[in-house]
Amino acid sequence: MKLCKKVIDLVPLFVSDDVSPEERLLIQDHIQTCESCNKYLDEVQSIQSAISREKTEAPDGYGSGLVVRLNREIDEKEVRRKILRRAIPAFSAFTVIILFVSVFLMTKINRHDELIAGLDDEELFNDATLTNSFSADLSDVLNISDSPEEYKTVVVRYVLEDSQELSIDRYVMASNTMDESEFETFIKDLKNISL
Amino acid sequence: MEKLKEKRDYDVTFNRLVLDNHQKVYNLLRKFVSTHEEADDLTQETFLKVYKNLPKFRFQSQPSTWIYRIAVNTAINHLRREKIHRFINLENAHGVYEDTSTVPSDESKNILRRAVSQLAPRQQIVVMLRSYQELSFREIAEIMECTENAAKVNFSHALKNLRDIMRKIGVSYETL
Repeated sequence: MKLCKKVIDLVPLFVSDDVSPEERLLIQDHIQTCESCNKYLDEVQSIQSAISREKTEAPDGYGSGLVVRLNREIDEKEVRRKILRRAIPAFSAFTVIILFVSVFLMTKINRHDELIAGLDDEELFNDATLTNSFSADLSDVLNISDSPEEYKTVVVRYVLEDSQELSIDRYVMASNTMDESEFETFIKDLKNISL
Repeated sequence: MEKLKEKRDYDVTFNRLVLDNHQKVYNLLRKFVSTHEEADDLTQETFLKVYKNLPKFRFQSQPSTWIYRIAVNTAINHLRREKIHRFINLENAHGVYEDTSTVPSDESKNILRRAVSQLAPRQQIVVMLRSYQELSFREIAEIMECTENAAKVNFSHALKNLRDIMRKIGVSYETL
């Protein structure tokens, strides 16, 4: 039985003529007496010879056609590689530019947001702050002192002269600096001057 | 200028290698596929690898052995990719012939081809190189980067497995 296993392992090499003379003798002797190993040898021999008969040949002129196709493929690959080699730096530069522009725009947007957030600040709209800031601005623009009388006269004059330098909202804001009686006087004065 | 000359020499060497070896490579790869077009694709794939790796080849061993090795690796990759398809094909073949004791000879050859395709990739390669290409086990070992003994063991197992597959399918060896 042990010999059968050894012979079975050697049979494929026996049929392909790859055994030593000793192994050849061993197999030849064994198959004389072992029917199953003998049958196995027949089967393997048939398969081996069927495979050997299956010859395939490349078609005529295949080699030269193959060389042409390979060279064309290699050239095309080379062109693709060259395009890619140029495209990568261009693409990288484009990406960097886009990145810089994005960062710049983001910074601008952030600054704008901060400004708006600052305007929301309660302190900025505090009456006192607004009044002081506006009076100071107005005094600067109109080149007048902080005297209420002079202030009122000038403001009224500007309103009546339809000066573009003092818009109506500024005028309204100016009125906020007066108490009720002052405002009434102011309006009266305004009417008198208008008439 | 020097670079251009080098490139031209390189291309001449490559074209020479293709012309000298394409027949063997094609014949080997043709055994693993059913159509000429597929064999052609694998042959091209093999020689493109040859072109790419040519600078690394030192010409210390036979170029044909090196090219064979690349072809064998290409074939093994192909066989792995096609494993599922081959499995389905064998199931079909089994279904057709399981109840018949004898089948026409041409059909048997077709089944034999399919049966070969059921073997493990390395076993298929060793059968192809030994039985079709008639290379020695020393050459096969060099191509497959294994020992001569390992190549023989693979071959022995391959033929035993083939005989088992043929029996299972119901193809009589007398019809081959």
